[in-house]
Amino acid sequence: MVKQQRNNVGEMVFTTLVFGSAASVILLMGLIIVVLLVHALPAILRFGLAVLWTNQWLPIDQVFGMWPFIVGTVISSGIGVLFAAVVGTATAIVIVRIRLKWLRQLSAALVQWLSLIPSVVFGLWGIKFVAPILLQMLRSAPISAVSGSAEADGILLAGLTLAAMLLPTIVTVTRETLISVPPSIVDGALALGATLNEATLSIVIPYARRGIFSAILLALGRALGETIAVVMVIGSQPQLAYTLFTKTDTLTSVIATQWNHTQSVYGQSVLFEAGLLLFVLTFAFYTIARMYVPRSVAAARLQLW
Amino acid sequence: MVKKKMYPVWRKIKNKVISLFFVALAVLSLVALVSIVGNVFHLTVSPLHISSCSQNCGWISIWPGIRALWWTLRLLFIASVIALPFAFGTALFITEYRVTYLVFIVRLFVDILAGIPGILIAIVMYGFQFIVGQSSSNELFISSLIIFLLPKLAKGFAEIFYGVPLHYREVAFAIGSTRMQMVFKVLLPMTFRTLSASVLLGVARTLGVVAPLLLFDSGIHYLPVDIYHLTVNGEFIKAAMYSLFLLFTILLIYLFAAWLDQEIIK
Amino acid sequence: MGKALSAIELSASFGNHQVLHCVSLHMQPNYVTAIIGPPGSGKSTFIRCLNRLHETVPRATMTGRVMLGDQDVYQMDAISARQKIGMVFAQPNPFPTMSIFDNVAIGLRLRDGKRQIHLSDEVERSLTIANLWSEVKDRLQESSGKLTVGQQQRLCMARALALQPAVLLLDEPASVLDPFSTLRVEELIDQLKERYTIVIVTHNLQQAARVADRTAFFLAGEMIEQGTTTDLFTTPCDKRTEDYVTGRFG
Ligand SMILES: Nc1ncnc2c1ncn2[C@@H]1O[C@H](COP(=O)(O)OP(=O)(O)OP(=O)(O)O)[C@@H](O)[C@H]1O
Ligand SMILES: [Mg+2]
Repeated sequence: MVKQQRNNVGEMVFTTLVFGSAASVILLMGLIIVVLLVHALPAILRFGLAVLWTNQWLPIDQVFGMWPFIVGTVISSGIGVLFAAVVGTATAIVIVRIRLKWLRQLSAALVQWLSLIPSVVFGLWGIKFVAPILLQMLRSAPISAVSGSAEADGILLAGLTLAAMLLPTIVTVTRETLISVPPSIVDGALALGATLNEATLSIVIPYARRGIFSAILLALGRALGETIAVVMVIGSQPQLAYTLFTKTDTLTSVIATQWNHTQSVYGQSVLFEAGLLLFVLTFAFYTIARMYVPRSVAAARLQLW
Repeated sequence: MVKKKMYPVWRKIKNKVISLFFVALAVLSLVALVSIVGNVFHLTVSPLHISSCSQNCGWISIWPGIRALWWTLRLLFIASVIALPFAFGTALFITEYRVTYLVFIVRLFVDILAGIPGILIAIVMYGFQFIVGQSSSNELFISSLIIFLLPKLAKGFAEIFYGVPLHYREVAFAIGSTRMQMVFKVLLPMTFRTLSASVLLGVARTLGVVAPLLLFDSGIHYLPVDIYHLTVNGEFIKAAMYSLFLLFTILLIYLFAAWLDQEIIK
Repeated sequence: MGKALSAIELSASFGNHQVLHCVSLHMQPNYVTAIIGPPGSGKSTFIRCLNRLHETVPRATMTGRVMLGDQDVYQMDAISARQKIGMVFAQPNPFPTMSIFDNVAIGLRLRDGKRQIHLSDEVERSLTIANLWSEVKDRLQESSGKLTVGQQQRLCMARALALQPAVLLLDEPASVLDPFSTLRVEELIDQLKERYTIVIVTHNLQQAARVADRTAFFLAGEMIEQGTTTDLFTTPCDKRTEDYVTGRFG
């Protein structure tokens, strides 16, 4: 009887915990939406939707346009994901092929460790390692299109930094999907006289395409939301990126950099509006992306979202 | 006919080129990834090479870094202790209950919250503070960390619970155990190592975040935020040294997690 | 026409674990040679050595020679060796991302280049030989995953036959098939031996008795006995063979 009683109490606590947590998630979502809306409201009422396609950002003149930042976000993430996807997939293929067991595991572990590395470290790498190299290349290149830029900061550097940041994620998830390709179909291809590369390109990659695609989506999500690594290398100028070396900003980085420089009345509210836009984009992205992302145990273990 | 004779040769060349391409890209990524760590190392030890700097000038400034690390870990510990039961409950709600509209919505929200940019968390906390009035920055920090960590953990847990085949649960239900007994007798023991590794790695990931904490300028030191400010102010050497602490701590956590759950590297 | 295949003093290991101990076996042209033996006795390893698939496994090593006609397989290019010695696996493994047509055509495409004039004729020929043409001729562009297991296995045979190999290696081709499909595969083997040298690994002794001209018995990585199928099943020389074929084995 007593035992029964205790059990019931435990059961009640358990159920409360489960439903309470679920409620807290919904509450959290509501809180985010409400706070963003409340603070963005003045700017929305004042400027309307025009901020989306206005090309300029002149806080002193009360002109706020987010188009440059939208473009900056898309281009920098695009560069990052493109590089990371190509290099990362090739790396995963090579890692899976390594014949020495310890080396294979060591490289997998190394990549997983690197996938946990904070973005500040990547920013530091972008500033102190990639930027000098880019600058060197710029100086030696006989092009006039980028003449005059004495600094490497800009959208290309941001893209490259993002690429390095996304690389471990893509390698880890792609490696997982490549391992799960049944060896029997690879054997089948080899027995037909295919080389290992031909088997990889025509059998393994098509078989693993969903996994690779989901790795890329995962990376894209992170690229779109990344703030710090971008802030450190993008140069932070509110202008549209015309060349790869233009200093610009992304939707995330503009919030970070303009936050303390908001002299105008609507300055902060507009930043909340940018946040709202970012939120809507994130919402849409994950609502769609989750349909295409198969379960990845590696991502779950490494918390790669 | 000649073309047919030449084909095997051409095929061999193509094969070599593809191999070369793969290896070159792999080497490129190796160089990139090693240079990230190497860059931090190099920056840290570089003052030791400069003769004008006396031997111990690098070592004097170690203590602020270690202290910041200690503070960081303390804040993070509090945040994860609070986030853990909620994440656990949410994951159970998503995976163990009959799929209703509500479950669907919670799952969607967890997916979105797990991917929300850190900077959004920062401005939401900032705006929230405006609504309810000033609160201490300690609390703000911890709540930001919780908002960052909770959905990520919940999503990870849910994925891990999904990985447990259904029939294990059915066996438990078949002998008349309640849902709670099933969770504690079947689900948890089966996934305990994976779960703890996942928590550790989630903590390791949160250990490096800056964006959610960026907008509060306060006296509290959170190591990555410090690194960010140092870098922006051009104090690269100190930033690199702090980064080294961070990398090292994350390595330790990763190794511990990998030991807990050896499946990770398989 | 088939060519004779002979393995001479083959030894094979995975790492330090030696699986085959100095096996010599001659497989006569246009004969069906069956290899029987308990699980783990190295049958699969043996036939994977014949077409050089063994060397693709990490840490796998082997010594000895394999002669195809008068050529040494291990002196040849591995790719052309595998093209001349086709193989069908225990688990039907058509390429799931490709259509039925592409599955058969891929071997030819890899060997002779992408653009070929007679490709569809060749595909039809191989599918016809594999007794599959009538069943799939209207759905050549469908994914191969939609076929039944038995059809998939015959598709794998057609895939191997498309390259017109001299030898066909079958590793338990009927182990996952239902009795009816098994029967069809056996009929197919009977038809094929006019054109190919066939080596079949099987656990099913009746099957070996039905299809094979010669049989070899493997035990723990050694070849215990070989001979014509009738001899091996009725008057085995070795006690262990007798135990195995009469079913008294462990
Ligand atoms: N990839 C591998 N790595 C290590 N050892 C292996 C590998 N493949 C097979 N072996 C070992 O080689 C031995 C022989 O295996 P093999 O597959 O040749 O046996 P088999 O006679 O074909 O068995 P079965 O009848 O079950 O197919 C076994 O002891 C097995 O454990
Ligand atoms: Mg076998």
